[in-house]
Amino acid sequence: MEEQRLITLENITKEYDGVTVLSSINLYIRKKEFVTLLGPSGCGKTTTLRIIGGFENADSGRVIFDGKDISGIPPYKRRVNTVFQKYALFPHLNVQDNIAFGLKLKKLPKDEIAKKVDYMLELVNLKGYGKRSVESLSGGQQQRIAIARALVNEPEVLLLDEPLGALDLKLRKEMQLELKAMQQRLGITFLYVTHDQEEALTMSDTIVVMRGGHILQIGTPKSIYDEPKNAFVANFIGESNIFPGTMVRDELVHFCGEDFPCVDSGFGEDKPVDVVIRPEDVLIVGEDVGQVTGIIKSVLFKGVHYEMMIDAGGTTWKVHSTTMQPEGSRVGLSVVPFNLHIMKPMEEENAQ
Amino acid sequence: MTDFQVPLWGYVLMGIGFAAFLTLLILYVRKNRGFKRPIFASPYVLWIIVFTVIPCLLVAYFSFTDPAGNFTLDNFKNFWDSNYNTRKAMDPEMLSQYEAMGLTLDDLGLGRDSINIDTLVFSLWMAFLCTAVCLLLGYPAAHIMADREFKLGPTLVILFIVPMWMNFLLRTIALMSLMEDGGLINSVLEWLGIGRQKLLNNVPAVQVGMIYNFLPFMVFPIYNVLNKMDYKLSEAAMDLGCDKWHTFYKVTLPLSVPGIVSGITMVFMPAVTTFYISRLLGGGKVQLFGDLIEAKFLSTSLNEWNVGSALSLVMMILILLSLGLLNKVDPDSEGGGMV
Repeated sequence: MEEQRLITLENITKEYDGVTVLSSINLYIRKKEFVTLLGPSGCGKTTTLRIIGGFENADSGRVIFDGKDISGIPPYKRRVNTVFQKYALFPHLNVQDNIAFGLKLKKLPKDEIAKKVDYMLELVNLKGYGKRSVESLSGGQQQRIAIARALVNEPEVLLLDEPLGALDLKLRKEMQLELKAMQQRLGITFLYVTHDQEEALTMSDTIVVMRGGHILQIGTPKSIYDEPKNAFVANFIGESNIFPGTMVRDELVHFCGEDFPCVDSGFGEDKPVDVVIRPEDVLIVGEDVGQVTGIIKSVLFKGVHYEMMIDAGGTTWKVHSTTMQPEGSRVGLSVVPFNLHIMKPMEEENAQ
Repeated sequence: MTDFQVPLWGYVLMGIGFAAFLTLLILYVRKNRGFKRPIFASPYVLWIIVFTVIPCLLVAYFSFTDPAGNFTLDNFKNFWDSNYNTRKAMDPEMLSQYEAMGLTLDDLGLGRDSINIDTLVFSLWMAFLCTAVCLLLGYPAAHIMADREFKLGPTLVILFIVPMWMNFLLRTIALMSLMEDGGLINSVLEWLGIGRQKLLNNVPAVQVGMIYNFLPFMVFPIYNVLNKMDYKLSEAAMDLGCDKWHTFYKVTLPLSVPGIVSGITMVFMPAVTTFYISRLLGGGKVQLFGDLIEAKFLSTSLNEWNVGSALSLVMMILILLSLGLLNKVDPDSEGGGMV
C-alpha cells in the first residue's frame, strides 16, 4: 500500500528555544483519508500541521509529499491549503473575493472563477452571500467561508487547525457532520487538529493521539477507544476508571483487593500494571454475586444514563448505567474479562 | 532667583483648594459608583472652549474686520495682493500725480504682489514633498519594526521614540550644528575627499529638517496598524498561493491604509504650517507660509494682525478641506493610536 501514502513524516523534530515540541515524529497519511491529530494543548499537534503546511520548518527529519521531499518549500508552492483556527478571513475583501483569492492568483479566467466561487458558496450553504462583508457574518458562516476559501483551490490535502473551536456546541456538531460529508463527497485528504476527543471519534478514519511531542497511538476511532494503548489515551478518549494493579499471572489481574480474570497476557508474573475500565463496562449486580461490593456515594442523571460514583475496594468507581440505584445502597460490581484493559504503567511507558 | 515669592496664605489656599477638589472627587465617585463622563469631561470642555474655540472665533473676527473693528474684506484682498493695503493707505492725489508723471504702479513698487499666494503654494509643495518622502522612508521602517521575525523590532521602536523626548527646536538646532560648514557631516565629506559642501541656508536643508522632524509621525501610526494586524492573515495569503511580494501587495498594504492615512494627516498638517525649521535651516532665505503668518503677528504696524488672521483662516480652511478628503478615504478612521 506504499503508493497510497500521500504524506509521510520521517523523524520530524522541532525545538523552540531549547524546548522540544516534537521529538522524532513518524507518521503517514493515505490518500482520501480523514486523519485527526488529537491531544491536549502543547502536545505538538498544531506544530505538526504547520510543518506540513510549510509555515514552520522542522529542525530535522523529512516531509515527503507524493514521493517528493518538500521540506523547505514555501507554503505557496505546496498543494495543501489550510483552514485557520480563527478563520483568518481578509477583512478588506467581501465573501466572494475572499473565496476567489487563490484562484485570482492563479490567473484563472474570470467566468471560471465566478463559477467555482458560486459552486463553493453552494457547497457550504451560503448561496447569495457573495457580496457581503466577511465581518457581517456570524462565526459559523465565517467558518464556512474559510473552508470554501481553502477548498476552492482543490488542494490535495486540507489542513484544519481546530476549525470548530470557536463555535457553540450545537453548531459544532452540525459542522462536524457537514465536514465529514464534504470530505467524502470531494475525496480530499483531511488532516484535522483538535483537542476534542468526541470530534475526533465522530469524523476520523484515523486518529493520532499525541502528548508532549510524542505520538502515543495511531488507529481507527474504534480501536483507540476499545484498545487504548496506555492509561493516558484511555483517559483522554472517553471516560475511564484507572486502577493501579498487579498482574498475578497471564489472564489474572489483582486490583482493588480482589483477583479478576482478564484476557491479557504477556506482562509477566507479579508485575505492576494499570487497569482501565470504561464506566459503561461496569455491571451493577446483586451484592452477593459481584466481584467487589460497594456503596453508592452519588447519583447524577446524565440524560441517556445515570452516572454513579461507587466506593468499592478502597477506591471510587465511576459507573454508567441506565437503571438507577438509590444513594447509599450496597451493590455488587462485576466486569467481564474482555472489558478489563491491562496496560503498562504510565511511568514505565515514559521511561522507555 | 525671582523677586516674587508665594506668601504663606498662598500655600494654605492651594492646600485647601486641592483638598476640596479631592473630597469632591471622592464623594462624586462614591455616589455614582464609578466615573461618569459629563462632569469629568467638563474641565476638558472648558479647556477646548477657552484655548481652541475662542481663538478660532477671534481669528475669524479679526480677519473680517479692520483695526477699528468695522467689517471689511480688505484682509482677503490683501491676501491676493499684498500691496493692496499699502496702496489703499496712500493719498489718492499723490497717486494721480505719479500717474501724470507717467509712472505706473509697478514702477512705484505698488503693483500686484502675489507673495502670499506664492508662499502658500511653495509651502504646500514643501509639505507634499516632506509627506511623500516620510511615507517612502517611514512605511518600510514601520514594516520592519512590526515584523514578528525581526527580533530587534522593539529596540528599533524605542530608538525612534527616544529622540522625540527632546524638544523639536533642540533637535533642529542639533541638526543645524551637524550640517554647518564646519560640522560633522562636512568633516566626513572632506575626509572622504568629496570636499566641504554648502549644506545649510537653502531649500533642501529646510526639507531635510522637516523630514527629520516629522518622520516619526508617519512611522508610528503605520507601525501601530501593522503591529496589530493578525499575522495569520499573511499566513493565509501564503497558504493561498501568495509569495512575499503578493502577500504584501494584496493583504498587508490594503489593510494598513488607515495607518497611512493617519500618518499622512499627521505629517502634512504640521509640515504645511511649520515656520521655525525654515528659519533655522534656511537662514532667512527660505520663507514658508508659517513664517509669513508669524511675521504678521510679530509686526508692530497697525492692521497686520487682521491680515495675519486672514492668512490663518485661509490656511485653516485648506487644512479642514484636506482633512475632510482624507476622512472620505478612511471612513472608520481606525488607524493611528497617536491622533
